[in-house]
Amino acid sequence: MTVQKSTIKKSFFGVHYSNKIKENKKLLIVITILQMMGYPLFVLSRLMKENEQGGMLVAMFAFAVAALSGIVVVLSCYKYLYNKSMTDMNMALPLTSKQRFFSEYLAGLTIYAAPAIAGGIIGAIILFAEEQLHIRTFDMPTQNYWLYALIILTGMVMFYTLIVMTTTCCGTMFSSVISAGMINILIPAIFYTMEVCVSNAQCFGISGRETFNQELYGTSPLGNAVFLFNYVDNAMYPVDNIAFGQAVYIRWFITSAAVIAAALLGGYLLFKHRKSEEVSTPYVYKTFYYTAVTLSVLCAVLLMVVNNSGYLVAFGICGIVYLIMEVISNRGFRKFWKSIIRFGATGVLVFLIALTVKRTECFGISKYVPDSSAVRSASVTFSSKYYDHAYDSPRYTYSRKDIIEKIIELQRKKIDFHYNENSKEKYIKENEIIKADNISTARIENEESVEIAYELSSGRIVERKYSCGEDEIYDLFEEIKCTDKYADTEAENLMAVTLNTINAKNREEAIKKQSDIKLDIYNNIDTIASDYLTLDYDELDELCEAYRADLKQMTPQSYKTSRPILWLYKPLEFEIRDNFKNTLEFLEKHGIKIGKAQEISMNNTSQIWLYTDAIEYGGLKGKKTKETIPKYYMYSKYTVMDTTDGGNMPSIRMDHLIPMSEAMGKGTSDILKALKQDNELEEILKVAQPEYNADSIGGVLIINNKVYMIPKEYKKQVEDVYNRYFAKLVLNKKVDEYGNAYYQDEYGDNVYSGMASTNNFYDKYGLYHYSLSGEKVYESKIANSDD
Amino acid sequence: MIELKQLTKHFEKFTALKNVDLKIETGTAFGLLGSNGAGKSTIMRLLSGIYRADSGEALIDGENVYDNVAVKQRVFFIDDETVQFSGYTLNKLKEYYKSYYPQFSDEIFDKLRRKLSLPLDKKIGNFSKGMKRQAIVIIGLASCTDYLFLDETFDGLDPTMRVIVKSMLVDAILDRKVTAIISSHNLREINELCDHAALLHNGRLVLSQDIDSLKGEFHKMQLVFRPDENGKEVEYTRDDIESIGIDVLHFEKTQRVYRIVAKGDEETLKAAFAAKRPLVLDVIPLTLEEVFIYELEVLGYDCSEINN
Repeated sequence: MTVQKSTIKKSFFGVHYSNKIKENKKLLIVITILQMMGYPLFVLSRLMKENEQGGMLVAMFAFAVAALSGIVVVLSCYKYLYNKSMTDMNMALPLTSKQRFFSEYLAGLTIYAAPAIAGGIIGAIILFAEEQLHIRTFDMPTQNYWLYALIILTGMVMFYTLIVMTTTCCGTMFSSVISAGMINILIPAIFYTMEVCVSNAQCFGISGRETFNQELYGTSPLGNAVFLFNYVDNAMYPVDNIAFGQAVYIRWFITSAAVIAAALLGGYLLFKHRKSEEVSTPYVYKTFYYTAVTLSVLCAVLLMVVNNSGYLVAFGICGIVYLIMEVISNRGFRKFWKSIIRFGATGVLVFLIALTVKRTECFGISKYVPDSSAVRSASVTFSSKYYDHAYDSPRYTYSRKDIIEKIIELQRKKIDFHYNENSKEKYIKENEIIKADNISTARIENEESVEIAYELSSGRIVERKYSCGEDEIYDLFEEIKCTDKYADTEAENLMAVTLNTINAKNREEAIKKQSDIKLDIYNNIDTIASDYLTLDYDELDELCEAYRADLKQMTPQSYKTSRPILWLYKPLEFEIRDNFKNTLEFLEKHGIKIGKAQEISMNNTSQIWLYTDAIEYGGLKGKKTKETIPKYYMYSKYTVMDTTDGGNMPSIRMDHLIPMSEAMGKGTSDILKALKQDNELEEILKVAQPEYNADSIGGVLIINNKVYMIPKEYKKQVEDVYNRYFAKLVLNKKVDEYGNAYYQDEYGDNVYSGMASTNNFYDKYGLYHYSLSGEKVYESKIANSDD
Repeated sequence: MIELKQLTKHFEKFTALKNVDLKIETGTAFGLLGSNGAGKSTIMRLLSGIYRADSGEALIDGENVYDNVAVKQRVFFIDDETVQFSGYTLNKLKEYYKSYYPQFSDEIFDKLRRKLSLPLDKKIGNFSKGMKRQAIVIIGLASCTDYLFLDETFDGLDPTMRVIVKSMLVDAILDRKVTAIISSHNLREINELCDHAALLHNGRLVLSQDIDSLKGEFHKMQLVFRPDENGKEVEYTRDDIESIGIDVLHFEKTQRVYRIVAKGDEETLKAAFAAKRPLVLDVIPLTLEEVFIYELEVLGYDCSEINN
């Protein structure tokens, strides 16, 4: 009998790897079939016109099953960890722990992921062939295909690796399956719970979603799935989403890689130190079991408490589940009292964590302000009333350091105001704001929400939401408008929006339809276009470039000292200010009158308002000083409101709410007829301007819903006309026993009625209402009013 | 050479082995004897690198076995399981082990397989318990390792197969100087196959010796003593016998006949008993099984108590 010469080989890594794959050949075939039914079928279904939905459903189901098969693969590759009869022969093989663990890990990963990669490549070939042949265009951006693939693959590898790690902690098939499910649910559940807790704690400026979403992305397969959906959403609808900069992807990838590496290393160390004889023990590492169960109880209790189930109910339900788990893991009721003590300790821990979150205001994150050097870009979202037009992006993102610092400064101030009462007092004092005054306090708090998002250099996104006063918003808004980015965006939007009206996408299409390019011109408060431009494409291009140049030249200072005088296109969309030299020149060249009213016709006039004085209310007006108030009378979106509450729209409050109208009774109709023939009114009409550019106004005239400003030199004539006609409108104010006020003219006709005590009015001194006795009662006064 | 130095192994609170010292020379067929739970399988698993010692060392040729690829390549362990590799055919199983043991001999495998008439392409899961045992034994022998550990390997084999498998094993030991450790509750097999044996009890090594000398060291004596001067029958107790310097393992008296199992040289024992003037003194050779039973009886593992 001859015997082969004994050869000592150092490593059987490759041998064990290939043997493991051979052992699991059937599993590999099944997963390969599922993966071939997955992505390739998905793509094919999109190409085939018939039964598209059915094919896609089958494909998604097949992919989901293949993805979940990671549990089966791990259990099969590491069978000897929970199957005693397999242990001896496997562990006796000439392998070190390291060789055994990693060769099996890689073999399992090959079985699990290789079919997915193959499916992805086949799908990609079909997809790119389809693109090349223009069979049917895909509605998803295919240029990012490889990034989608990377996200999916990373999620799969993480899923697989986490299960490998948990399997090394378990000694039975049951505990292995339970733990595999638990780890994949528990990690995202922890972040979700933290989100819910933080949201529920109502920490200043924080919303849970923004705080923990990013931690969720790279730490679990479910998080990866959320990241993928957010990414696809971002790729398809970039305007509506949080800025997804490159650093976000890098951060996600590094986090995911770190979690995979940690799970792999942890799995190996646990594998190396576990004892072969512990097969069939439910949990080889009890620490893992108690950590997982404690965290599960923690999440469940906190979520139930947050959902107002109460501590007792939450602990009751979790206690039953906890004790069942204990009975299973201890195989009976042995030392059951220990389980009760453990649950008690868990309960105390839950309570302490909840208390800590509350006491520390979410671990102090609400006070966190990033350093400007660590901020790559900052985004701001204002509420809709601060946009010039609806077409604009709701979120502005800036990488300019000075703007970033300005945004940080706003955040710091909000935090300072919130936590330091002295700061607020100081600000009020410095800015001569009367604290009790509703109007004034609205300028510094609780006026409008501003969302801030920083993309840090580390790839982390920090998001905060604050209620800001109009002063604060206005200051920031000025800065933001004075950027090249804003100028480019606005000029491009102007071009795009205008071309869109003729259904043209580009120059060629526009040239074909050039006679159709029409731009409406609006002046100040009007809601009806006052003029229009007819342009060809090159002229439109010239206008856009002029507009771009003007916006680029704008500085915060020039923005403050200028005022909007015209608007292009749809009502109030593209603002043209009085210092937009290039744009105004272009408009004048094309026959548009700047700063002059059309001839005012009194024909067919059924209503006339005349105001001798006006107090602005609400909206984007900045600090109310004698210098700034007049400018803002004429701010773009102001509508004339004669209700107390301006609603969400900026409004001008007048001291007289009753128009001169034919419909208001015989007396009013007669006064109106006389007014139309008044010589002094004729004088006023000649000087009435659609825009206003002075420190104070002489009056406001509204005819047929068009608003005209009367220069201050004509204030006397305005007051004369007012006293001759409008003052007669309301001679009597009667209040009945229910508090209803009736305003009657000289003929006893009711021209207005309402609740005397709840109808508030403004005059130059501030907000007032009428008492039951008919006296003016001021609720608040303007800080710098003469009174 | 195999060497166990102060080897200790615990399974949670149970001590499977406690400070065991043992040496097994190369080329020895070594029998491991002991009661259930004595620690025989634990020693084999420690020597196969399956278990890691809690303290002490399990050395093969001076090297620790655990996580040592070079040593483990020279070791083949056949446990008492019969359920693994159910999905394999014998041919596949051969290829599987051949990949881990480069010295695997196809020639030996074929020869042994033909001898046992085992089918190559039938799944092992469809084999009988005895066939599964035969299959793994021929794989173990064909792996041509220097060390072969067989844990209750002959269980499930019919008498004919036992003879065949034993002869194969003996051939390997003789031809290739394989060092084999065999544990079995069938002491006759150990007696037939092994030249050395060790007895374990409750995780401790009771004895380790050459089987022949082991058997020679224990003697079963049948004695009848003369009556005293008055013609009265003499009554001796175990203590009386031990007081004359005899290490008594078993003491039994039926009417006038004493049956004593004692440890020691035959001549020395005879000389010691001469002082008591025995009328009859017959020395009956002990089987290994009897040595096993009587030795354990001393340690309190008395099968007679079960009947009582």
